[in-house]
Amino acid sequence: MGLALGAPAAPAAWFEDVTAAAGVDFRYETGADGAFRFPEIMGGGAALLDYDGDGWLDLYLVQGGDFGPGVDAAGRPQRDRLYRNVTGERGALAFVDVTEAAGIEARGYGQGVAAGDYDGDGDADLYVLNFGPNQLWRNDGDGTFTDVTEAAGVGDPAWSVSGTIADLDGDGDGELVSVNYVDYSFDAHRDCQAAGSSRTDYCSPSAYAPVTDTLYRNDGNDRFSDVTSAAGMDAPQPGLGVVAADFDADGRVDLYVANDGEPNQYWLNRGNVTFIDEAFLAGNAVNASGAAEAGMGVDAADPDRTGSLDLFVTHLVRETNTLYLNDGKGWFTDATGRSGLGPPSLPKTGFGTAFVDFDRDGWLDLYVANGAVVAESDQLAAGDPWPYRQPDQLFAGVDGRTWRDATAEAGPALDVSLSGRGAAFGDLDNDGAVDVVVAHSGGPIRILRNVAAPGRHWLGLSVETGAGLHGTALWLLDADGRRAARFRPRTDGSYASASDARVVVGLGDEATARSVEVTWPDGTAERFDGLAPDRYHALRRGRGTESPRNPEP
Amino acid sequence: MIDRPLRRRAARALFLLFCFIAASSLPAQQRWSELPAIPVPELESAAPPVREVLSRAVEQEQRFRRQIEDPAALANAYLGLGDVYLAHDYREQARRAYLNVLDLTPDRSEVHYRLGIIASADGRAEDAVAQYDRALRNAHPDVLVPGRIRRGNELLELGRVDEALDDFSRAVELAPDTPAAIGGLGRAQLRSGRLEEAARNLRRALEIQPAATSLHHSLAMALRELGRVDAARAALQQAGDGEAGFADPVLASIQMQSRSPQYYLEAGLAQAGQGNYEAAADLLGRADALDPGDPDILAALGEVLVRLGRVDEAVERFERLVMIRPDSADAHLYLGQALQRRGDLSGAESAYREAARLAPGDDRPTAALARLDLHAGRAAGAAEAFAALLAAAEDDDREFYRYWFGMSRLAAGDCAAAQRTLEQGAESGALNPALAQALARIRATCGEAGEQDLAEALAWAEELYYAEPTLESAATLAMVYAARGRFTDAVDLQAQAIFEALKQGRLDARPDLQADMARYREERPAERPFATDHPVFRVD
Repeated sequence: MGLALGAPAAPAAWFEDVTAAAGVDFRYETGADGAFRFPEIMGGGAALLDYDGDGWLDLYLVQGGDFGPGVDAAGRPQRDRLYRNVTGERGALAFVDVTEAAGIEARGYGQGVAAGDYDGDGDADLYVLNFGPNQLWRNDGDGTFTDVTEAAGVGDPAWSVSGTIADLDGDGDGELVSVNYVDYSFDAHRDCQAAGSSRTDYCSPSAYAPVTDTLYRNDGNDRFSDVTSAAGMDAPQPGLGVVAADFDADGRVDLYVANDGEPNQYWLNRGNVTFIDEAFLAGNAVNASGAAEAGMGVDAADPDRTGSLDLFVTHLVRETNTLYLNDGKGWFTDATGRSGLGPPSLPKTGFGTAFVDFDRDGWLDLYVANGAVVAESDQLAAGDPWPYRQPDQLFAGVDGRTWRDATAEAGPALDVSLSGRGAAFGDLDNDGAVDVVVAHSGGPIRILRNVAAPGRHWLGLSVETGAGLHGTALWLLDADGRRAARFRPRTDGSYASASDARVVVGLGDEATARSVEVTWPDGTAERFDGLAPDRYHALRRGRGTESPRNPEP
Repeated sequence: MIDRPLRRRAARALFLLFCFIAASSLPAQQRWSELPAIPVPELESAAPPVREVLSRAVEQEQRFRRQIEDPAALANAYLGLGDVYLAHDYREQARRAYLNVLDLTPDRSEVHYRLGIIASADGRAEDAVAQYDRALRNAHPDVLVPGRIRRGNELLELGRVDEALDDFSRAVELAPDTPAAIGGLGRAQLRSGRLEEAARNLRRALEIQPAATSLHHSLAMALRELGRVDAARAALQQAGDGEAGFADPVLASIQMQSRSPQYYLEAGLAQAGQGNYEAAADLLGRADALDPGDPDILAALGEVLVRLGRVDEAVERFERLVMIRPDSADAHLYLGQALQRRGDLSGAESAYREAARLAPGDDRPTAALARLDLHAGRAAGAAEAFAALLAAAEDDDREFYRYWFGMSRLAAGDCAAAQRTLEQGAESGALNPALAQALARIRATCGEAGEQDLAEALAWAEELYYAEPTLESAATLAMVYAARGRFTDAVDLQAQAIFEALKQGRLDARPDLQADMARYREERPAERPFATDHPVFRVD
C-alpha cells in the first residue's frame, strides 16, 4: 500500500481569509517616504510557533516602521508583535496580542524571523532578522522571552532577511545562520531609475556590494561564536532565502541559500563546522540555461517520492520559479520545464513559498506569495501609492513532478492583490489542514484558513528533536514496511519566515492507521506503528521500535 | 429532421455570415476608424529623448489614421509605429500596433514574429510559441531560422523538449554555423538525456562563438551526467552570461528605429555608474547595434563586459575599437588588459607594446609590460622598468611603483634591496595591506629584523588576518609566528591557509604552503617570503 490518493475532483475552495475574525490587526509599515530606501521594499515576515507549549500555534509578526537617517531606531514606535492562539479556549480561530506580557521588545527595522529550539530545552526560540542588529529571543518556557542577543554575541549588524536555527555540528544544540543581503546604508544610498525611464524606483541588488551570510556556532550556555570564515562561508552574495537539510544523504545538515540575481549557494557540510559551496557542479546555482536568477524564497521537500530532497526557488518577474530535482546524491537538475510551474510564474515576482499538501490528496502543492519590487506601470498610472501589488498563486500537485495552476479555484481569498513577502505555513486550528499566513510589504497580514477538501484524511506528526529538527527525516511506510514517501520537518525555508515544525501527511480517502519511520539526526532509525489517522502524534525517541534500514523508495 | 438546437446553431451561423459580409462591404475609411487606437503611453517618466520620439509617434498615428486610405499602406504605417514602440520597450503599445497590422493585412509572418518576441519578453511563453507557429507558416525568409531558434527556446522553457529538438535541428540544417541553433540543439539534447550528442554540439557552438559562455554551464551538466566530473568543473570555470548569437534581421531593423545611440550610451553609462552592469551591458549593446563603429560605445561596452567577466565579448569589442582607432594608445591598452584577463599573455604583450609605441610618455603600458616581465620571471627587467617609472612618477603613483620596484627586486633574489625599497614605502606613511604583507614576510624570513621590527611585523600580520582571514593573510601570520618561535601557532595558521587553498582548488598549485608547513613542524622558520611562482608575482 502506498499513499491512498484522493479523488481527483478539485475542492470547492482552498482558503478563506479569516484575519479579521481571528482578531489580528497588523500591517507591515515600510516607513517609505519617497526616498526609495532599498530595505523598504524587502520586508516582512511571520513565524508560527507554539511558544507557550499549549498545543496551538502562536503567531509572531515582524514589523518595519519609521525609517530613515533621522529615525531613532531604539525609539521607533512600531514594533514586532506576538499573538497567542486562543482557538482552544474560544472554539474558533482566534488570537490575542501578548507582546508586552511575553516581554518582547523588538523595535529594530524588521525584515524576517527564524524560529527553533537553539538551546535544546524543548521550546521554540526566535531569531529576528533586521536591517541593523538582529535579536535573539530565548523562550524561557514560562510564557516569556528574554533578549539574549548581547550575551550571545549574535547581533549581526548586516542587513539580514532570512535565517535558520539548525544543529550543524551534531552536538544537539542549534547554530544560527543569518542570511544577509547587501551593504546598504543611508550614506551610500543611490537613486536608481528603471532602464529607459527617468522615474525613480527601488534599486536592484547589483547597485550595492553583496555581504557575507553569518554562521554562529552555538558554544552552549547562550554563547555563540561567529565562525563564518573558519567554516569557509566567507563568500559575499545577496542572500534572501535559506533551508537547512541533508541534501546529499551523508548524515550532515547542509545549507542552501537563494541569492538575488547571483548564483545560489549550496553549502555542503564537510564536518567540523566546515562547508564547501558546490552549487555549480551540483546544478542548483543557476537555471538550466546557465543564468543566475533572482532567488527570493525557497523550500525543500520530496514531492516526487524518490526519498531525496528537491528544491523550489521563487524568482523575479520574467524569470520562472525554478524546481530543482535531486538525483539522490545531492546533484540537481532544473526540471522546471515539464513541471507546469514555469510559465505561470513569469509575470510574477515570487517570495514566500512552501511545499504543503493543502488538499491532503497525497501530493505536495505549492503556495507562492507574490509582490513586485519595481512599480507596476498600470498601478502607477492609476495613482496607487504602493504600486507593488501582485496576487498570490497556488499550484496543485498532480503527480509529484507536475503541478497545475489552481489559483483560480482557490477561492476569493486569493483574488486579492497585495505586495506579498514572507509566508508562514502551519495548522493554526489543528484540523489537519495547513493554513497560510502571508506578510505584505506596506500591507496587512493575512491569515488564510485552509478549507480545502474537508473529507480527506491526514496524519499529523511532530518529532521531539529540538535543534536536530532539520536533520530528522520522516518516512511514511507502505503496508510492506517500505518507505513510500519522505517528509521534512522544518521551521525554515519560505522567505523571511518560520513555519510549523509539524508535518501533515495527506492520506486522501484512506482512513486507516499508518506506520512511520523516523531517521534521527544521528542516523538511527525508529519505527512507529498504528498511528491513527486524522490526529497528531508526537514521535518521541525510544518510544517506537528500532527499525532496520528500509530500502529507498 | 433537424433538431431544434441544431437549427438554432445554423441560424446563428447564417447571422454571423451576414454580419461578416456586411462588414466587408463597409467603406474602408469607416472600418479603419474602428481599428483600436493605440493606448497613449505614459511619457512623463520617460527619458527626454524617448519622450520626444514617442510623442511624435502618437501624433503620427492620429495623422495617418485620418489620411491613409490604402489598407496596405496603413498596415505598413502601423508596422513602423509598432517598431518605434518596441525599439523603446513600450511592448503593449507595440503589440496593439502589430495587431492592427494583422487586422488590415492578415497572416504576415514577420508581424507574428514580432508579436512572438513581445510575448517572449513578457514571459508569455505559450503565446510566444503560438505566434512563432504562425510566423513560421509561409515564413518570411527573415524569420525562417530565428523563428525556429526563438520557438525552440520557448519550447524548452515549457518543457516541450521533443518539439524544441525539432526546431533546433531544422535551424541547424538551415544555418549550420549558427551558435544559437547548435547550442540550442545541445541544450535540448541534454534535457532529453542524449548526453554525448549534447556535449558535442555545445562544444561546437563554443568553438564557433567562444563568447557564448552560458553554454559552458549546459556543457558542464552534460559532462557531469557522463561521469566526467573534472571536465565538468573545468567547463564551469569558463561559464558566464554570454548568450549564443544568431542573425536576426527583423530585430536588427527594429533596433534601427530606436533613438540615437547616444541615448543608449548615456543610459548605459548611468546604469554602470549605479553598479547595474547587466542593465548597462544591455543598453550599451543596443547602442553598439545602432552604431557599431562608435569608439566611445565600444570602449564603454568593453569595460562593462570585463566587469561582468564576459571577457571574450570584451575582447571582441576592443578588437573592433583597435580596428577603428589603430592610432589610439588607449584602444590597444584596453585590448591588452582584456586579453590579459583572458589569459592570452602574448597577445596582451603585443597590445601593450603597441600602446607604448603610440604613447611613449604614458606610463600605463610600460607598467603593464613590467608586470608581464615579472610574471614571466624576467625580474631584473621588471625592476629596471619600475625603477624608471618610480623616478618619473607623480606623487599619487609613487608608492604604487615603489611597491612593484621592491617586489621586482625581491623576485630577482635581492632580499636586502627589496627590504630597503619597501621599508622606504612604510616610512613614508603609505602602509597599505599589500605592502604590510610583503614587509612582514620579508622581516620574518630573508630580511634584517630586530625584535622591535618583528613585533611590528606581527602586529601588521595579525591586523591583516583579523580584518580578512584569507589564504595569504593566514600564511603571512604563520610566517611571522614561526619567525618569533611560536611554531604551534604557525602550524595552526598554516593549516588554515592550506585549507583555504584546498577549498579554492589551488592546493596543487601551491607547493610552497606544504613546504613551509613542513618547516614549521620541524620548528624552523620559512625560508623565503614568497615562492618564485607565488601569485603575487603573477598576472593570471
